[in-house]
Amino acid sequence: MISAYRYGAALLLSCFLAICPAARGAATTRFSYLYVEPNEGDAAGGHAAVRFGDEVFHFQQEAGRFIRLRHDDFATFHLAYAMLGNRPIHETEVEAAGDDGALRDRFANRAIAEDAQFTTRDALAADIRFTDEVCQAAPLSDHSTRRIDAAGLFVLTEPTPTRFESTSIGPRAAAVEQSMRALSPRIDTVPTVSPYQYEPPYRAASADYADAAAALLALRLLDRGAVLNPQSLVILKPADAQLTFVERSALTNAATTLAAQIDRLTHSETTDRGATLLLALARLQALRGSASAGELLLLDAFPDDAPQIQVPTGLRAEYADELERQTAEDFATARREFFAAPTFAEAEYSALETAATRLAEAQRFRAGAATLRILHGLHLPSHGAEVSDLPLPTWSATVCDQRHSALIHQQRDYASRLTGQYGYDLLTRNCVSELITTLAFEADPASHGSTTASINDVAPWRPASFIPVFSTAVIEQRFTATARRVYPSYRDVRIRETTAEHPTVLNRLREGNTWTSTIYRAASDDSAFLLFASDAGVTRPLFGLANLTYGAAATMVGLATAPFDGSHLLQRGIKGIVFSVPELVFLDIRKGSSLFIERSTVQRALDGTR
Amino acid sequence: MTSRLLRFAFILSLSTLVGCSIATSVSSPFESSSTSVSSSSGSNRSAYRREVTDYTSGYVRSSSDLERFKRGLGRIAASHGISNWESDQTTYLGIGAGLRKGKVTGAQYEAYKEGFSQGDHEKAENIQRGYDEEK
Repeated sequence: MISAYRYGAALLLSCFLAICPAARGAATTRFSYLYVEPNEGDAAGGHAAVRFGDEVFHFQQEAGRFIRLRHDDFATFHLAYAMLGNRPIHETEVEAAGDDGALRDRFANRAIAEDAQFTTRDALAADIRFTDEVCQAAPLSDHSTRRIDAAGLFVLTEPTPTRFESTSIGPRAAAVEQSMRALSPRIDTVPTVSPYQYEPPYRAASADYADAAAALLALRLLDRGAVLNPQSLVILKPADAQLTFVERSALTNAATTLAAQIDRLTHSETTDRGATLLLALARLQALRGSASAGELLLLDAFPDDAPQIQVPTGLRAEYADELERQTAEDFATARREFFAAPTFAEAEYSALETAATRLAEAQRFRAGAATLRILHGLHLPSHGAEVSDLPLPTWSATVCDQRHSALIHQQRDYASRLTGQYGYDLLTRNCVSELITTLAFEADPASHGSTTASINDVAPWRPASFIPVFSTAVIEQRFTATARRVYPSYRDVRIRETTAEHPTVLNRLREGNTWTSTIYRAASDDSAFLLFASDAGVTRPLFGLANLTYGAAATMVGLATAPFDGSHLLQRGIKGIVFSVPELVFLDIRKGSSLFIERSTVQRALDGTR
Repeated sequence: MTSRLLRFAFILSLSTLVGCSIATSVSSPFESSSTSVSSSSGSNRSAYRREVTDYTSGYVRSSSDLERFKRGLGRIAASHGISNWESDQTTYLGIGAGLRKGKVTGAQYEAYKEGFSQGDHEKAENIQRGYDEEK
């Protein structure tokens, strides 16, 4: 009975989604389904995504075992998966019923709804910490010291002045102090947990307080004169920092524009402008310093908790050269675009700061630094520092207890609801199931955006449809495929090129193993293996056997070296065994990763799409 | 012993075959290659505008609280290197497009436009332009 119901529902659904668009008189919309081949490590089952133009939506398992929607541009996705991840991407273009853009908007709306809900989770945790801070300080002091983002961009004087020099800033600062003391202990409502219904995130008292604290610091600095912390500046090589006359003039004009913006921000009644004002003050100092010194002074964009990596010694020189080459190109582009803008444009200035920060870090690493800090995307400089004498709200012990208990209860309840809606499940809620249910979801006004649809409701006839490798077949069954193409992996591109250049057996032998390959640049956590079984075809089981033996040998050696290398080789050896076994039965999972890639190869890979 | 180990490895291998990608923290500076992270300001601006449009259209369907709206907008802007989003005209183009996408019309649209532009003629113009350009 249940299966008959499901079959009927599936038929109706398929009619709605694909088979009957003309009958429904609806327009068709196009999108692509992307299947990414597996590799060892975090992606042994493969991956899947949908693409609308240059936008890609895909679900990834994240910290806390949640499955979350990610929204990337296609170039980023291709670089991460096909190039650095060395995994071919199979694209199937399909047509579906529906208004142009409606499917894409469904994913975009889901992304902002999820973001609001997970922001709420983090805000509740921040509010609990803030409540404890206020309530623990209360009996002893009505002032506190706390870390404020971007405060570290300045030299902070101690003690804090008690009186403001400026008659215009003084009253504004007094108003901000008053708002901090009067901060309400009221607890805001939380948004509904639903992937299809956006509601504004929880408004945290801690965020209001942090904004006000940043504003107060900015006003103090404005009053006394802000002095930039020299350690917050990027150190560029003199040749990179040198400014032309035209550039100096442009920076002088940019400083004038920014000064006017600061004036408006200072007198703004909006409460969340504190951090903006603080950053603008620091940038104004940097702009004026640059124009005056004739060399580019830029704020370091690294956040205080920027991740750091180490690079295998054998590849270090080549890695550092390539990184410096790429970051220098980016810096030149960002510089050109910033100075081409007719007036001060913050986005372009941030891009310049970020590019300069990455270049300086690449140069530092090339000069011998042991670790390399990573900066991904655009960042606003935020180097934090402790700031003292910040007024605290005064909440009674009863209010404190009630607020703390209510927040803890709210946090637990919300976390439980998030887990119920977004908790990862290998079989029923994974990267494929969420894609397919989102594609199939049709809002029911009575459901308030919630859905209980699962992969089994959408594709009950294919018990393995939740596995990425089988999911393309499900999509092609539901929608009309109009085109197919493959984006080759980094290794595929390079092998094709070297084979065309040197079509010899010796070349094939050299590139076929990890010891002599000139293409393979192993990431440090790649498993221990000897032969590239993905090139092997019918002899793959033999390659698998060789890799299994190699992995076992590495494991034995790893046991002996474990006390000295933190079990690194042992772990690689065990992974080597695990990922050799599928090769014994012809399965191709392990492809090796690419520690780094040349930029030119990325373009050739896109050009060489089959 | 060997066959047990092999069986264990086989089961472990099979169990990995169905898993999807796990998001990892950024592990390579090459992920910021300019082919992806736009050193191209044009693509960054169009991505920013698109995100503001999506956010605005989602927001106006569920709430009319402008203070909260601004806070959320600040987070989106920061991810595109914009701290002072109120001074960036792309913001208003995105808001206008989002109002159209959110099917806001008539007096309600005018109220939103007034609320967001706060009497600033250029901002109001750009909201209108974004609204008109959205299909």
